Amino acid sequence: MLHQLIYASVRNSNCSDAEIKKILDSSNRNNGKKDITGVLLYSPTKFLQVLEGDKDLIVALYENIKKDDRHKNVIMISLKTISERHFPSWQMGSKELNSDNFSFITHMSDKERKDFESLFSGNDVGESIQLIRKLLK
Amino acid sequence: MTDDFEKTQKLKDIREIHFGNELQEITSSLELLMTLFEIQDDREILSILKEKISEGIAKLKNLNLPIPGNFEK
Repeated sequence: MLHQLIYASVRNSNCSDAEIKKILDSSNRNNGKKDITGVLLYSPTKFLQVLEGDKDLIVALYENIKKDDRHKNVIMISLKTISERHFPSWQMGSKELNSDNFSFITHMSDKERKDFESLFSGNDVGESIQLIRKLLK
Repeated sequence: MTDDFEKTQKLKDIREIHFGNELQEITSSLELLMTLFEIQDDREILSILKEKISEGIAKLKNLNLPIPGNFEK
């Protein structure tokens, strides 16, 4: 059954923007094979990631992510079943938090970019997007 | 509704929070905890969140940072 896991964490000071690029590269490489999709949002001090896919796979991935020394104080925000993916079109996109503009460092088509932006700006959004908005305030 | 696995994991994650001794680390961790507090409805999770937030505030106080407008020596 399809599940969605959201977590937030504190970005370590040793985690440069170049390191974030590495995270996205490895996510693109590894998560696609497991049919895990999602989005990574980041600020100078925090991360927020949404993972969508098979429950066992995303929980196992979460356990691995927690061991990464580029962040600390990882907290699961929610884990729930979903009927469809909120982030289906890309393996791992990114947005810099607290920025008016979406800054993507992964490859996205124009359509994917528009879908992503409308997801965060529209009124008719699901609970998880509302939750993410709250975390991004 | 928080299921058993999710609840156990959240409790574990919250208990494992380590604030460190730097202002940025403490405030960022507190922000995460307070957001979770705001959206949480499970009493046990709320209780452990409250404990952790209190721990973080104590850490902040221990930094003995200068308070703007406080001219006491």
